[in-house]
Amino acid sequence: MIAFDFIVAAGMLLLAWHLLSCRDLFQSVVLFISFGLLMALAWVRLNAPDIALAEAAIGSAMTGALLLAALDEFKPSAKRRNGPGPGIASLLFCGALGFVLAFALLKLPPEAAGLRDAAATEVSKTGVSNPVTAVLLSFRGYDTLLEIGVLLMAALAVLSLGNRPPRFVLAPSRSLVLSAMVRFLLPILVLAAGYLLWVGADAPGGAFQAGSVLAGAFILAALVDTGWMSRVSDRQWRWILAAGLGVFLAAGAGTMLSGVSLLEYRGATSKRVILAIETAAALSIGATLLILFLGGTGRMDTDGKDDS
Amino acid sequence: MNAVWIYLCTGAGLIALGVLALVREPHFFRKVLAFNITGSGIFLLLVAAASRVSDGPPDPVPHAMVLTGIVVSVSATAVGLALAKKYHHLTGHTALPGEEDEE
Repeated sequence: MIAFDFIVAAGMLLLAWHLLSCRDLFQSVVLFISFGLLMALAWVRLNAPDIALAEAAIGSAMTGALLLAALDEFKPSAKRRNGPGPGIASLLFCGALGFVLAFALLKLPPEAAGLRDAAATEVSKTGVSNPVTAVLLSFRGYDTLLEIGVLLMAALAVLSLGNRPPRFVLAPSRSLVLSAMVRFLLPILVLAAGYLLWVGADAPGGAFQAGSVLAGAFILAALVDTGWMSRVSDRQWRWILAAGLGVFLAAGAGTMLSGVSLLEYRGATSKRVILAIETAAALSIGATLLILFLGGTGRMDTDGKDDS
Repeated sequence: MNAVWIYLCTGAGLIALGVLALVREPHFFRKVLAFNITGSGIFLLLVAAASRVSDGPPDPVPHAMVLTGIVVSVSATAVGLALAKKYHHLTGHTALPGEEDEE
């Protein structure tokens, strides 16, 4: 299997080099999506299936969708300037950076279990058996709380910039193939999101993977028709966006009121609290990623003003 | 030599490539791509370093950190692209003044 790892690693470096230096921005985005899929393979090889799922759904697909939506604004054929080759100073600096990093890493001790054993003995107290979910929502719940906050801030920033949604959303293609496919896929995607959310307690999966599958479903639906988005009022959109952080904060406040420290829940109720937080978070993540993709709630006119 | 060391070196290589493109490329869009490649290199480094075990599952703590990192980096990408779009819409440029424009 070493040969396989070598091919994946070499493919990643080659793709990264090519996508950063090729002339066509559209080609860069396509190469970036392929790079993300190779990364997902690398995660599987490193025994990190949770990250592999997140990378394929968020790192590769969602970032790719965001990049494609942004290309609509920049000229897709923007040519790379034909200046002099890379400056010697920056080449030397980055070459040295890579070598120093690699040298330092190769000096690491070959065996290190880190916090694995501590996590394995404590995981039974959290009510979930997937150690990554236990770290995310119990041991280091504080980090995840702030992360949901970061997502909400990003949605607020994108909403207040008020960019116009990409042209292919404003004037969607009335393609029969697309709408028939989306009608067929939507229920499956929602079901898959629910499954990932539920199974995250005991197997790879969880709120982030579920949220991004949900976002994929929302985006596909918006590509066919944005009409459904106006049926949800602006006030309701705000509630959906804030639900993840709101439930998380409520859980934190609840634990503090009952006399233990912030987000310290154990025992019988622990799994229920974790699932409640994850459900709200998945919904908010789905809505947030949709807003990040569209740059608004889809009810913007061409001047970028809200017409509600 | 096992797989972990291959991925550690790949991580270092991706960081070097990403930082090089980040300082070299004037176009906002390529800077965002370079930022993402650098981030991927850092994630690979963290998880590969967590896999230095001969038997049993790897350390879940870096895994959770990287999962958080992936979501934060997609948020940062979205905000960066939205700022770049607004800048292009208002000024018609795709790079900061002082750096060469491509068009």
